[in-house]
Amino acid sequence: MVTDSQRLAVKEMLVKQLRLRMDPSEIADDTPFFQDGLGLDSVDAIELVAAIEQEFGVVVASETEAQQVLVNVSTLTDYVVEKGGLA
Amino acid sequence: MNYIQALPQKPPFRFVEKVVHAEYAVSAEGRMTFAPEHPVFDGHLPGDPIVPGVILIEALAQLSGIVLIPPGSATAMGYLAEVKRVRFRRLVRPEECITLESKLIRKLGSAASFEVSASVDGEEAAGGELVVGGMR
Repeated sequence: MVTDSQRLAVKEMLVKQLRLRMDPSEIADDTPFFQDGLGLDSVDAIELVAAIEQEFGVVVASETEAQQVLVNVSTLTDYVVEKGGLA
Repeated sequence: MNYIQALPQKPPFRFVEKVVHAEYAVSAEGRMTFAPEHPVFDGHLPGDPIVPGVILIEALAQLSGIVLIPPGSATAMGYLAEVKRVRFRRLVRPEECITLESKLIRKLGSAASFEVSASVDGEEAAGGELVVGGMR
């Protein structure tokens, strides 16, 4: 069961690591990371994968896995929790 | 493949002179040397010629672009998107042979991060991490 505080931790990581000019609370759980959502690009995705490993100790193993996980806060938090991060 | 010709950068802004080894999506090693009469030394620095650190970074980015040339392609693509934790440890002078090394850390879509190093006689002059990517 993923909690609101775990989702908030992911939002705080996004804002800090990607230097987003917004408050973590402004990011909805289902806001898309790319295109019309947060507007991230492939360089941000590289940053994000490194940050997930650094902050949560979770390694995103492949490009395919990254595409499935780096969708929005919900998908990313589910993945990090499932892999044992944010315990 | 002629890796040097595949670089989109041309003289006077193509710094990698020789590619010793390159393996797609894995790593590459190259060499470069600056002649004493290179115009960069007119300004950097008068009477104290030093290869600028930003040129070492650019050369490492060019070599990283070579790592991203897919088999069968003749052109390296990508722009230097990020420079992370690069540390300069040694001055590089004219006529010193600089060994450039780049190793892919990860690739996602059109972006890739690399662990890079520039060294002279086995002594690291610059090292860190670069991100090369297709940018808008």
